[in-house]
Amino acid sequence: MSNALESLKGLRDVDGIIGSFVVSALGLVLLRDLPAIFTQAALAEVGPRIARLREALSHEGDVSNIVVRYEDHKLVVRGQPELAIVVLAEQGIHMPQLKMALNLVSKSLLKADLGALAGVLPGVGEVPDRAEPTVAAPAYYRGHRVS
Amino acid sequence: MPIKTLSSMPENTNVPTPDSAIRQVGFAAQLQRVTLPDLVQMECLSGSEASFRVVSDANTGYLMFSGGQLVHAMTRTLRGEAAAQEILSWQQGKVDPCKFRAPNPPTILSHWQELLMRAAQQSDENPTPNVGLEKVNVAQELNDSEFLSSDEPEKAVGSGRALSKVIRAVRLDTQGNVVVARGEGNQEDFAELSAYAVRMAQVVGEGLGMGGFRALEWTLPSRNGLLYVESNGSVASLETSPQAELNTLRRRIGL
Repeated sequence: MSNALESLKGLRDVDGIIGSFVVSALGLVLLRDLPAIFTQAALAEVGPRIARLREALSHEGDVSNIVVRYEDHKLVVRGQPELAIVVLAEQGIHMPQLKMALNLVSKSLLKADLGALAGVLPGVGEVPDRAEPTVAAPAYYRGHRVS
Repeated sequence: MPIKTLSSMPENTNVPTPDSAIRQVGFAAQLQRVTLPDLVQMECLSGSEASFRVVSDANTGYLMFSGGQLVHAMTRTLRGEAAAQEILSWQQGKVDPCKFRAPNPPTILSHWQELLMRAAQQSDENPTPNVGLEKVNVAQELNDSEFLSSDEPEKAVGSGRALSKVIRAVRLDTQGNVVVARGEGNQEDFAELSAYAVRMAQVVGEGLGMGGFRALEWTLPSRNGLLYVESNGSVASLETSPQAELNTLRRRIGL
């Protein structure tokens, strides 16, 4: 487990990486290396949405890479069927460097005991966030529930 | 009215003016590795009244400047802006001052910077053929199919040319209506997938404080996908074969 976290931290060797986390196919956050400003509550909401995004895009086989561009940042998702590494990065990140780093971390995580990771949810190695999760009315978009 | 070709056009049609009258001061120079956009920029910024003969391989054309603008251009078959775009697409050759004087009224009304931008865009979309380059320029393919440039997208639905590397492409308006659809398979499904993916990317971005959503790219075993939000809020989404060249499209949409 600590080896997996160390691997994830290795992504920070690439300039422009804000942090990263690992989500399961169901969107559970298994591992995180993020600044404290990203709360567990926020990740608990984001994880399942990333899982749904991956599932929606996997209509012709499993989606292996997703790059989402925002105004100031990029979100990079490198996936295997059972888990995905999610990287938060600055807009100008060196993508070839990041891809190489993700290749290495992916191999490392494959060797990790994911079952063990899943057993200590939420937030492996992290202090649980005590903030109350916000409760919002469910929203729908073209028939799909989005929150 | 047929356009006069240069070979049939008498030189005095444009009132020849002695070189000495055009440029009474300054240096005569020979420069190398100067591009035609460089020449246009230099002449316009200096408020030049000069004309130039451009020779590139078997092609000959003329560029004429007046009052800080490129006001006239002609080739053997074209004149005005079309000729200017044609000449600006030439990659190598020779430029010499000539004695033609720009006609009045001018045949080019666009600002010279606009002309150069258009030429650069055209150059991006029609790169010099490269035998070793197998990837298909997706931006050009979409442009040809009216996916990117259609002013009346609803008329273009189903009427575009076949796309060789774009597997399918849709454009949705801000209400989620499909206004353009191209390619194979069920485009309604693809439209729904695209709309849902945009929404997921937006809420993920909001949850993480990433700023406004711009574009999403994905990789599948046998195809790649790209979708982006246009300035008017429409969503354009496409899937391509892995051999497709997407860099030109990315540049064009500012990614």
